[in-house]
Amino acid sequence: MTGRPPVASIAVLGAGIVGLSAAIAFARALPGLSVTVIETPPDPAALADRMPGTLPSIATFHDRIGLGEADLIAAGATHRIGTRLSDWRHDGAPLVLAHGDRGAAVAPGAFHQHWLNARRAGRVAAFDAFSSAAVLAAADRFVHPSDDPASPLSKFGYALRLDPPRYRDLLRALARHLRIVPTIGDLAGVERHPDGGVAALLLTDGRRIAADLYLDCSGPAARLRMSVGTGRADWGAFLPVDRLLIGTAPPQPPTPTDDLVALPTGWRFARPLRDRTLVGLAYVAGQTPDSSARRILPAGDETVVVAPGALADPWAHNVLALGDAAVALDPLGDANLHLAHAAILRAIDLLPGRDFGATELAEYNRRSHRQAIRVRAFQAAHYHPTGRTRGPFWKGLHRLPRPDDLAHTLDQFAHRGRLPFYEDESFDPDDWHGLLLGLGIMPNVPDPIASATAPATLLPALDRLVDGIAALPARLPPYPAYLAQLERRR
Amino acid sequence: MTGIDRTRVVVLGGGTAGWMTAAALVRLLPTACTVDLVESAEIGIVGVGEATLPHIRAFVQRLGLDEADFMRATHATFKLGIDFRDFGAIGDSYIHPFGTFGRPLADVGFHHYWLRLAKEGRAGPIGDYSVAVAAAKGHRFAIPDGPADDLAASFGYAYQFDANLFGPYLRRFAEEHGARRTEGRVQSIDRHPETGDVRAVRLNTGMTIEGDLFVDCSGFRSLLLGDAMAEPWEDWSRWLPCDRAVAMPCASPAGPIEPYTRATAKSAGWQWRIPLQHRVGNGYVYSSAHLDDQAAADALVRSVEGAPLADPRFLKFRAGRRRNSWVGNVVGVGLASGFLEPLESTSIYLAQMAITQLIELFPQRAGTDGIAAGDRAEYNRMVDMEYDRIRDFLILHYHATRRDDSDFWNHVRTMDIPDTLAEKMDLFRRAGRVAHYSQGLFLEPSWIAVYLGQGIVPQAWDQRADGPALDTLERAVGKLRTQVADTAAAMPDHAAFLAHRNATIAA
Repeated sequence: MTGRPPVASIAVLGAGIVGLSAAIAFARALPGLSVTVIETPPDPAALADRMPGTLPSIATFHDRIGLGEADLIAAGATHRIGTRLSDWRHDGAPLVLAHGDRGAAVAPGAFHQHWLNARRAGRVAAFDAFSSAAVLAAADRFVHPSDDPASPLSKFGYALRLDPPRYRDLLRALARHLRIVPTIGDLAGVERHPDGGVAALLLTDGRRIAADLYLDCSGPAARLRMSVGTGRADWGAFLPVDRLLIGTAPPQPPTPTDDLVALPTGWRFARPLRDRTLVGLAYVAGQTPDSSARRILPAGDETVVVAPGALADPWAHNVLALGDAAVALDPLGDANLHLAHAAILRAIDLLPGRDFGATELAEYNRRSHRQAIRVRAFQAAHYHPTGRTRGPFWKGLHRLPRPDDLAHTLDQFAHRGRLPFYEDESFDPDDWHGLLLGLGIMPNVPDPIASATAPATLLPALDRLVDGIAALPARLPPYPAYLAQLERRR
Repeated sequence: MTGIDRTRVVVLGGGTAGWMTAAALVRLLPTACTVDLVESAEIGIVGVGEATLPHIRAFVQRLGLDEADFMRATHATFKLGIDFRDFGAIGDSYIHPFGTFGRPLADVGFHHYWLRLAKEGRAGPIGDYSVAVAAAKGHRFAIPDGPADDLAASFGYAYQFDANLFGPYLRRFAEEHGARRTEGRVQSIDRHPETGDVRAVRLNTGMTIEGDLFVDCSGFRSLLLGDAMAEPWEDWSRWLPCDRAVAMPCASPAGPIEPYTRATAKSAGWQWRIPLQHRVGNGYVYSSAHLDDQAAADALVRSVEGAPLADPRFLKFRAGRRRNSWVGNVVGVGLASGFLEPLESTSIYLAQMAITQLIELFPQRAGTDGIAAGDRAEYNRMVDMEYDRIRDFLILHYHATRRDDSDFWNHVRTMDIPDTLAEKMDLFRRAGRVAHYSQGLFLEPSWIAVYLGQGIVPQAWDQRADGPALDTLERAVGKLRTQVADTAAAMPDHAAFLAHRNATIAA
């Protein structure tokens, strides 16, 4: 046995997607671990438990807990290759955020720098036209990336669009298979150890639940984690949306592309699921009364308060906050569940002994913080005021302060198209390039390495690339047919 | 781009750092700059770092140098790691390999399983599970090859070369690609009266070399960054007390050529041994507060394994760095910007890293547009990050010891260390975790090698490593050990590999 008392039991507060995911992942990693899940009333503001969007990293998490893509498709998930942002730019042209390589190795230097040079030379297609994933997304097409690196249909990632209640049911079934059955209850109080940690959870029905480690997956209020120490940073100044009106609309044909449309008051989204479409409107309560929001989005029937922010130390003593309890994000960018998954896997990788040593928790908290602030930066960059200016929401953006790391990224990028290095980035350079160039942030200074290649050699190479990529969607079936094909094969 | 748009770069100093800088700039930024290098044949070069780290290969490849040609010209050998002797305790030894230990199993690092087995006395030394270590010990070498998870690809390599030949090799390359060399010593420095930027250097020959950007490769003298710009020095000698070295090459002893560098701890420092194709480099790095020069030279001369090929040569230095490496229009590269002793062969890496960052952040049209403050700040941020990490790693080699046989070792064993290192050590001691970072030198396997090699034994390990039954685990790990040994044994002899390479070029 390991040289110190190991964690032998965990109690998970919250049985939403995050709570079940954590319970399953811990149980998978540590056979013999006793796992108790307390199903508390869901917190409507826990976006990680209810947003359907995910990032490509979800596949890693599913591998670890033993879920295959076919299981997920059977549970109503569809593929998600990108997000189309409409009316977001100042010129109204749509931009597409998709994961994967952009361009190719046309000459020494970074591709986006060559693209910028071609643009300076006066003639180049949109940056999105050099991304096969973005072009597929713009055409509402999807195909699984090829294993052949020479194929133009390789080198991109994709994610899944979940049907949250059905996904949660799937996780419940998997949990049951691991003999984890959530017990309904709610937190009334905690019993503390003399060292400050939690000795037991006291439920409203009088039950007392003791464990070595407690996972607070109860939503942004983090009721359990807050009982052993505070320290939540408010990110509202950087991420202005504080209301989300959500509702359900009739189904649309399945598509691998999500739509985000900028409106004068904020933005709205449509997430087509198999039997319905989830719709939502993100806005600022101080600008748009809830009643007006309902007029703008008649299908909206539930108003959720959004309060972005994070705990400085999500892990304190023997209480670990996960999901919205640790970090609450803006509804943009589909990173909610990604951060929760990353945190769960990191907690397992760094699981301390029952003494919960300070250095081990500090390492966990440091890495979690580094990762969270870069997701925040990516989200906040969506609100950079180079884009749309019409409407109260967008007019207000130029007054928005920026976190230091984002200011640094934007300065370096606007100056010379370079992304400064940060540890634990969730979005890779191609993602950042797509967003920043898509928003119209054009670097001032040409890159010295890329500039060694003359436009005369560059432009024909770029033309060939664009033509090759532009021809891809027509070779693929419409997504509903592709999906039907997959389902027939099962 | 027209000539007038180019940034005029003046490189001051023609040692390893100077010619690396010049070669990289003319090769990679052919349209963005002109390069003048000023050096004086009268001033010797330090010729730091005959031993290198695997990152050097990226430099060689990026410049488009032919590896075999470059190795032959610099009498280079391959390097799979460093053999540390007598560091944790007299009689102890371990190899810090350029490669991994074992393979992760079910997402858990190999060393966690190894810790569990080792505690039961059912595993060999950790080095038995590293192909780089096994090959080094067997004096074997092959170019790593195969799929990423293959043992034959589980290591990297660097070179051990004659630094006095590396500079001239790069000089030829740089001059062929357009760098201009000017012979002369700096007499005075002309600075802008308001901005303080350097405008030109005047040489003893009467020549004046003007520039927009000055790269100070003048070595410890730091003529531009230290003297002219007066950038303050941040002293690290309280943690890294060695401040002298005495070096002396000797003839190669008969027998194999080791594909690794050896570092042997001595009473007041440590001694290097770097086998090249034609000779062996030796040197004693010591603390002048604990040992006088004559005693150090005597100790060195007594211990070398072949006939001396030169008189002992002394070097003076101190550990630390300039607070900023880029000030105004002056960038320090190499020793002019800082010094960390060669215990982990980082000198050439630090110059390479500085050059790479300079190219990333190169000021275009600096003559007309000036230099962006943000680029300077970013450069300094990246350099700081690298220096701080290497510093902690080096201090670990001294501090993690049980040696109490001299004042020197008593000092380093009991000294205060940076908080950042204390935390890293505590993290490892608790359960074998390595503080995570993804960019920079010395990632997880390096830290594991040194922690374990110097006697920091974790009290526990990843709980998941308790999963498999002990017997099953012992069998699997035993099988891995055999595979590692077989992989190394299938490699050619290092000396034979080199001879074959040289013969191929000759033909």
